[in-house]
Amino acid sequence: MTNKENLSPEAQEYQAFQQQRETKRPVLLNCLKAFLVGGTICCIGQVIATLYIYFFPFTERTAGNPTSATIIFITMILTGFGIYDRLGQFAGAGTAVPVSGFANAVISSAIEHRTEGFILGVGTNMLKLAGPVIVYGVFSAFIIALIKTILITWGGF
Amino acid sequence: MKRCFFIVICLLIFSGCQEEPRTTPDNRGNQSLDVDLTKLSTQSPIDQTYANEAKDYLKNIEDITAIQAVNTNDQMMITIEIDYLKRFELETKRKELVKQLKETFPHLEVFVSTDQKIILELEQVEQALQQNQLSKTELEKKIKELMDLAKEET
Repeated sequence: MTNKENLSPEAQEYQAFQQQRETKRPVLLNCLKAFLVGGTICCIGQVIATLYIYFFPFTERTAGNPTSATIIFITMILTGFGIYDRLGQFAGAGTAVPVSGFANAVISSAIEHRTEGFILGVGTNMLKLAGPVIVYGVFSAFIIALIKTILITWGGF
Repeated sequence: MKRCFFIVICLLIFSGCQEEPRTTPDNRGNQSLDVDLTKLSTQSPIDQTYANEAKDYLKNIEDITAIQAVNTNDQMMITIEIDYLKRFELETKRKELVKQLKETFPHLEVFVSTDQKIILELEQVEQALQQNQLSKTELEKKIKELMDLAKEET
């Protein structure tokens, strides 16, 4: 970001003009959409988990794995048919945060790079977007575990 | 307009978290805690006195909404459901209860679970016991199965 004082008067004038003309982002509405759509996805996930608990020998603790597998499978089909993209455009982060967002990131890049071949196309590009998620997921898990260990060992919690 | 909408949504969300009183008036008009439990037969095929005692003991403890308990000769399996808003304290509560129950029934191997699956299965076992559909070996086998299921890790 450049400082406003360093800019020429014309540039400052232009900035003021473009700020005035710029369409305002409806942040609150976007948050609400993300909340509702993300909540609905999680609600569907909860229904699937409950079905696994009721009709299969899974406990609350073990039902999580088949549930995320099912959600990923559903997302795969929705991404393939192009429905998930539209949902993502409407709800933004609401569709990106649950496990379905991760699945969508992997599957859509796999579809996109299919023409470049299976090794150098699909293989190398599949985790392009999902890679950072894994890296920072593992990294933040490490930090949290470190904090927890320190608190337990020295904090006496 | 937008602000109004936001406030309405907030109100809807927060009003969903209201706590309803968990007491129902009994025949004499007294308020009594409404705990969902079934007393089991002390006759067949394994005497369920211990399970009934455990239910009597647990029903006086605050926040418990439902209890299922079944015992064999050397093991007892108990499942409890607690008030939804108290579920944050579920872990500490369960540990506390296991300790208390182990002191109350030192000759039994007590197992306490709050898992929905175990609750469902134990309810079915209770119903089968009520209708005398389980033999002694079947009951022991079923309890062992449930214990293995409850201890299963991902």
